[in-house]
Amino acid sequence: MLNAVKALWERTFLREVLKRERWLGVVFGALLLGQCIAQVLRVEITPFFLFGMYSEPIMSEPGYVRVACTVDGEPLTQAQLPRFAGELFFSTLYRYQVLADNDFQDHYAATIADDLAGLPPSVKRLLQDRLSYRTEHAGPFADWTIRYLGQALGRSVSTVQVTRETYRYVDRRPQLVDARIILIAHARSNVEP
Amino acid sequence: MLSLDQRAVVQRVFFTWMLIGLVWRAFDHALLMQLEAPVLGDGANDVTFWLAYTLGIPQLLTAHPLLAGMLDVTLLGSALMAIAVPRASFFPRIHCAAALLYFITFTTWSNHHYRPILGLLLAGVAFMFRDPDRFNFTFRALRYYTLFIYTSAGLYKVFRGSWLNQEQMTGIIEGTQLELFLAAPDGWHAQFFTWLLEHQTASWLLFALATVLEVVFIVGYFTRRYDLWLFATAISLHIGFWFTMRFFAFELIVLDLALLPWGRMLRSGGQSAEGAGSTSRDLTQM
Repeated sequence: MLNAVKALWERTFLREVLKRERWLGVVFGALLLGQCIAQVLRVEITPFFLFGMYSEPIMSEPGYVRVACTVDGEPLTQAQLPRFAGELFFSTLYRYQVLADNDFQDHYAATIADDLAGLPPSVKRLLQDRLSYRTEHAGPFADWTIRYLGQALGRSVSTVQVTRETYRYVDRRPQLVDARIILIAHARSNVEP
Repeated sequence: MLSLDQRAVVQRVFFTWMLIGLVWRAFDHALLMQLEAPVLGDGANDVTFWLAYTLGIPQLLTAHPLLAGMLDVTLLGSALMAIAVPRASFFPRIHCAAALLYFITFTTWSNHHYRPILGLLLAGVAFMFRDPDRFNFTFRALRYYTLFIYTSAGLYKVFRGSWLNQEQMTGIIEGTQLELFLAAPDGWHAQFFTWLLEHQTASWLLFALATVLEVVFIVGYFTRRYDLWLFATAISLHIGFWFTMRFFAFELIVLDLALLPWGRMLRSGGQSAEGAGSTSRDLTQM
């Protein structure tokens, strides 16, 4: 049995690298170990890639949230922006919507407590403080929506309004159930509500 | 084993792909200088991102237009130079460092842990080595890693049970295509998604097929004989993802190029092992 394992090991790519380029083999071995640890612990540690691609079971839900955006009174959809600009801008709006849903309490406190339970409290506090959204970010964030859309659309933007909408599917078609405004940004840096 | 002449051709192909990806990003206002100093970021659950954010790296790189511009120019310029001077390993090294910073910074501010950008970094790693042995070993490692990405995606679906979930595609479509249903309900893509929602078994079969095709990549760990088929499978998966999820990971496809039989494709009649060796000596003295 031991001999079979040894024979198998002798034929591996890692063994070959270790034999001919020791330090490169050590680096590959360390990366392999890191990937295995990330895989087992199910934590993301870039550059260790966990490409799940919808691997968690996903069920049909009773309602779906959408963020709708209007710019100077005109609706703006993600498809109207260039691909990467649209993804960046609307993903950011979705993050803002989740924050608004949770009274602007960020997820980091819970995540740090769960995933990094072993860290000293002072380090946890530092991480939480640096990573989390704070109320003083509200004005600069509103300003950023004006600036970024101005650049992506190639014209000056005066007002951006973000609405949280809830839909449910009726006969395979989405129907609007509820809508409420979560952000109004003006070019002069005012933010409501 | 690829000779240094072949390595130069492969480097040009890889970096051309990466440069196209970066130019696309520039046109789409997604380079760091174009982000307009964002405020709201998210490191998701990635410890590396947390560390970078805590150290203020993404904030620093986007708060100052000059710094952001320098990184953008370095990223694009190093890719361009890697194409122009394919025998040098200096430019791929610079590119990989810049791509890592770009990946962490852009992904933090995009508030979406969009991992395929990592292709822009990983694909360049093998070309950081000028020594033929080191390059070939790293290029083979890149091939194994590409196999791992697909195999793990398939195995995740098997072990987490999603491949047996008949509602899987319904949940994915309803959750991700809401915007399309509202913006263009009569377009062919929305009609196709509606058909998939109405025919849950068919949509589940497509998901199960994708799972099988991903798991199939495990074959590549044992033989290179089917690499061309695996490459075709990878491209088919990407096309399939676009049709069934409107998800197209251009930056990830560059890794699929590691599955191509470059040695056979670039073999020329007059090239011999000695010829490759003499070239390698010349180059290692550069």
